[in-house]
Amino acid sequence: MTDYFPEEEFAPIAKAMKDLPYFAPSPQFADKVMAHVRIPGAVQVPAVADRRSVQPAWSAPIERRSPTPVPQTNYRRSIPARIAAASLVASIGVTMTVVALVTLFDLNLFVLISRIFGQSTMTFLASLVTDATATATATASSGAAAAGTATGIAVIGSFAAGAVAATAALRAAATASRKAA
Amino acid sequence: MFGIVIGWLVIVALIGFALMAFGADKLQIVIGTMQRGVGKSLGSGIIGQLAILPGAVAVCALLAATLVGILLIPLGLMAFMFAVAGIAMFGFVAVATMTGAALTGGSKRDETPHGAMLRSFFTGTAVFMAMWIIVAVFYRVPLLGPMLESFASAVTFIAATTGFGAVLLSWWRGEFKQASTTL
Repeated sequence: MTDYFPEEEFAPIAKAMKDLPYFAPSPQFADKVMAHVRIPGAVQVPAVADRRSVQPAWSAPIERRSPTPVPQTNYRRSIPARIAAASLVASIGVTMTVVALVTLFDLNLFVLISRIFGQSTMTFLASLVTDATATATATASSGAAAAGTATGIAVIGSFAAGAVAATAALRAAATASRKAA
Repeated sequence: MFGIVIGWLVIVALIGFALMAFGADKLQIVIGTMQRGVGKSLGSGIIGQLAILPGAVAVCALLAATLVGILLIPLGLMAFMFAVAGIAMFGFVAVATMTGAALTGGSKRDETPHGAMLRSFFTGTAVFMAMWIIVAVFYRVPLLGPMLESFASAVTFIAATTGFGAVLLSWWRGEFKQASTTL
């Protein structure tokens, strides 16, 4: 229940539950009643000792019980570890396969592919880094320039107010939606 | 500006509807995570956003371990960015649903939980989009326009970050896996 109620809400509920009266009749009520029941014509079943005195070879039937649960350790690996292991194995496997195929069939093809795609990859990465750096620099410089003006201060203040208001509103929404559920 | 707002409304509505159709249980888990602690979700979201760049570098480094992997770096980066955007969108849909549930909490007009969730989602999305429509209306007004835009950006940023963090937190706690095992 504490999953659904916070501690401060659950404490009075737990106290109230402790104060509730126990169920009547008592748990042994049914056994006490059945001890007085006598079925006319029914033969008394001998107890184990009585039965052995009559038939020494007799043994009590084995009682069926569910096996004792054995605690099992959870050996599952974490997801990042599994992703890393899978990517490592996949990379090595693909590389070895490609190397084997290219070596067996055509070495020039491998050189051609690595030149074409290798160059384009490096160009792509270089342009990505350049663009990201330029964007970050431009944003930072324009932000710094605007921060000194009245408009800049108002905009920054609005952002801070929005962040605080949004956090408070989300907290209120979380509480309200939890109570509504 | 109006076009951008309407475009985002359509995108969020489509993705939210698809999420409710195919992963309503997962959405409920993320909402539950936020309901138990907005601060934790927000903190996790900020940490998660700070980890995006190192994550991209890690993807590149892992792929660069082999010759074939180097060729796949652009593809890997694209997949990584799609995954990040998907998580952020998932989180935002969860935040919108939770907000809508808080606003429509008193009404008991829906007969099914999915109906109530759909109503909550559209109410929450309408609230966020209404805020941006107001921004679009006052966009050209000096001082007021930038201030409103900044305010709306902050609200959206906090909402998306909280949702992003809630998804990461739920995943980290293994709640998605527990839910699928229970089902």
